[in-house]
Amino acid sequence: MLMIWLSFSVYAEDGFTEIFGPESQSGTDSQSGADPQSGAVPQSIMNPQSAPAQPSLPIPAAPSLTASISGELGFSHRLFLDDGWNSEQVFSPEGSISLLLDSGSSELHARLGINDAQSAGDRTIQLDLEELFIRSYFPFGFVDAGLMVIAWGTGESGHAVDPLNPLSYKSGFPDNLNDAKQAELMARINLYLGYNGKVELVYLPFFHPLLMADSGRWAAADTSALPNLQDPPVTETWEYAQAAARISGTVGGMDLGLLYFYGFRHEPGYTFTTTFTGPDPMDPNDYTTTTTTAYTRGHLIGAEAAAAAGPFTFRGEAGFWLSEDRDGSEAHLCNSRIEWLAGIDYRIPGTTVFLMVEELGSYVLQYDGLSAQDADRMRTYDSALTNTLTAAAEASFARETINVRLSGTYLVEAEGYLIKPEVTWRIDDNLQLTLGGTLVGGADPGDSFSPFYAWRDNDYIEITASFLL
Amino acid sequence: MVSNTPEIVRRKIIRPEIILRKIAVIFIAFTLGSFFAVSAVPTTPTGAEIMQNMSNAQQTTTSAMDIQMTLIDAGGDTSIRRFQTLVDSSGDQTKTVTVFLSPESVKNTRFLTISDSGSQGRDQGQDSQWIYLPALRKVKRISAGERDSSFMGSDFTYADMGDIDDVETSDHTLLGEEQAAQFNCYVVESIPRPDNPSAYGKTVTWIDKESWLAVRVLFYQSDRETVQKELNCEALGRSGDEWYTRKVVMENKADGHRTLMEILQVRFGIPLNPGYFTTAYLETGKVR
Repeated sequence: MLMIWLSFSVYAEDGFTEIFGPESQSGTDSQSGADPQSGAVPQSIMNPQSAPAQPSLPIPAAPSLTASISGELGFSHRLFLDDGWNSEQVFSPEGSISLLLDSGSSELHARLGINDAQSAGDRTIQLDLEELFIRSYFPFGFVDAGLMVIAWGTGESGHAVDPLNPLSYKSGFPDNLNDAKQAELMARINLYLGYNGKVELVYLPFFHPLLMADSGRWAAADTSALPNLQDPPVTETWEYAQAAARISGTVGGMDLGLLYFYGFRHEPGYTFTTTFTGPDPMDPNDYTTTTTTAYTRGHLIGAEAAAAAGPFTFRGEAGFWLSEDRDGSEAHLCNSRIEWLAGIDYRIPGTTVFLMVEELGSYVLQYDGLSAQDADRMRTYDSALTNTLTAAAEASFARETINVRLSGTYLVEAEGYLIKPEVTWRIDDNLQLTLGGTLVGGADPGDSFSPFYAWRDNDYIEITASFLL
Repeated sequence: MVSNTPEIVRRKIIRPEIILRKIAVIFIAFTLGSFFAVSAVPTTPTGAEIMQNMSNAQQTTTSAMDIQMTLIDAGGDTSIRRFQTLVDSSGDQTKTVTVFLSPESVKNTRFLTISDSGSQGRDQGQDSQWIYLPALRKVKRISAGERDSSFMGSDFTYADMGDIDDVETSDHTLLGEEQAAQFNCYVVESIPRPDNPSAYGKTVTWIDKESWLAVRVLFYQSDRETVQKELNCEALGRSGDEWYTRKVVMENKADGHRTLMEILQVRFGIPLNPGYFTTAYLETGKVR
């Protein structure tokens, strides 16, 4: 089915088609000594306040509908290192294909993800609809609606003020944070403010939580330890509707944003209900404990900023999450907290070396006295404060055909680490080969939850081949 | 002017002071005559004047270009880079928006730079830059581009691709006049001043006398003796009254890699909607 799709001829409209015409029809219009200017200047490219005194230009034919396909297809071969020569090897097809249909005033965006649905030697491919939304443009802005991923915040490795889409860690820690974002059904109105600002109003009709594997190599938490865990609540109901607003723009030399979100935190909490089943109230075996999953509703008020100075780029986010559990007494709900991110990018002058450092932090309010089963206690390490440090160094060589990257993440309180070295060779403009690896581990978090500790036996090296469409 | 004093006429005697006066007058007349004669002959411009003329020739309020770069390695293998760029220098800022069309790894990446006029390509602290990454569908502010780093893996640096530096950042010396291919040229040597560091120890530029465009440039390493790169113009183009270098080749002397840059389409002085030079355009690719 994929090959049939790709066989349709596509006609891509890229670049400044209003000035140069369609890319597929453009050619040289200038010869030595020739004057290429003739015809009328299209109104859409003119400054309405200036007099059209210039010689006219040919009017490019306006296409009715254009389509473009992009993405990448390939495969990876992963060798785990936990058991010497007996270590598991995994071959996986992977990739994503994006389709854009553009009528000029409206667009349809779709993205399919190609993943491995292999089980016990069965070669099957799983196609995931990762995004599907429409967009319509108006003089005041644009509206989009559908299954979408929206990234707010200025951070590179994480965010403190990016509440709309849940993350998926079902296959471990992603190479790219945005790859881990799960699309959500939402509608968004974008209203322009001047030339570099906008207001966004977002409505999400329901909610989905964070995704973690509950079994297999990438299981991060043993939910079987939770007694009689009931099915999670159905969150695709009006009861779980959410909304957000954001204003962003450029002030002086800084990009700024303010946001408000009313909805749910993606991390679950648990309610433990013990029921007497009889006959002997003195017999502990006559009691049954049932675990139900709960999600915390609250308000997020946040801000973000980015600025550049010379070879440095500074990024920052800050947010205050006001929980529905105002006094922190409900163990199954998350407490209010303060979250922040601070980061610096630096390009070493005269080189291709790029460095990045970020710190993502969280401080849980009313932390003292929380029980071991508390939703916040499970994710912290005897401290209301959690910090995550991320650093990356990247350089390119041989005219950008070789790219070397080393990144690392360290959970300070959990003493967990994740290191990812990677070398990419761009064989040509469409084909690239990547050799990389992941080293992960951490200290035993005791009763708390630490994904890096849970994944400590998942070190691997991997080779990936990708063809860019 | 001969002075006929009554005494000389009456006495008809040649006195020394009179002779000296005649000589002085003749000398003055000759000198004045020579001065007027010299003023009527055109003087050769200085190196700085030539470079200023070249800079002036490249100034335009707005421009739109469709550019293709062909990277050619020493073995003859090629790869294509294609991009389109709009520039608006009509106000107190210079705004540039670029859309990359190929290769696939950067296709539809959009790039916006806003500089205080006169500072673009020179003082990074005065530039604001944003990039739109299509994979993330997000606009990011980034630090000003590294002037001396390679542009898209080509033999051109970002500095090479930008506007010509202010003439006053270097000392310019006219070396003479030469023929370069079919162009009749001034040859100017430019050495950066100590307070304006450059990636090159010096450059030698051949400037076509008719179009005031650089048709050949030698870029020297910091030792000012070793040629690092050589640029040659293969064709000029003309759009209205504006000349431009339509096709140039930059060769890296160290590894034999070459980059052919062709301007496929060009427009000068056209009105451009200011909506192109906004983060809103970067994000959507649609101009309001």
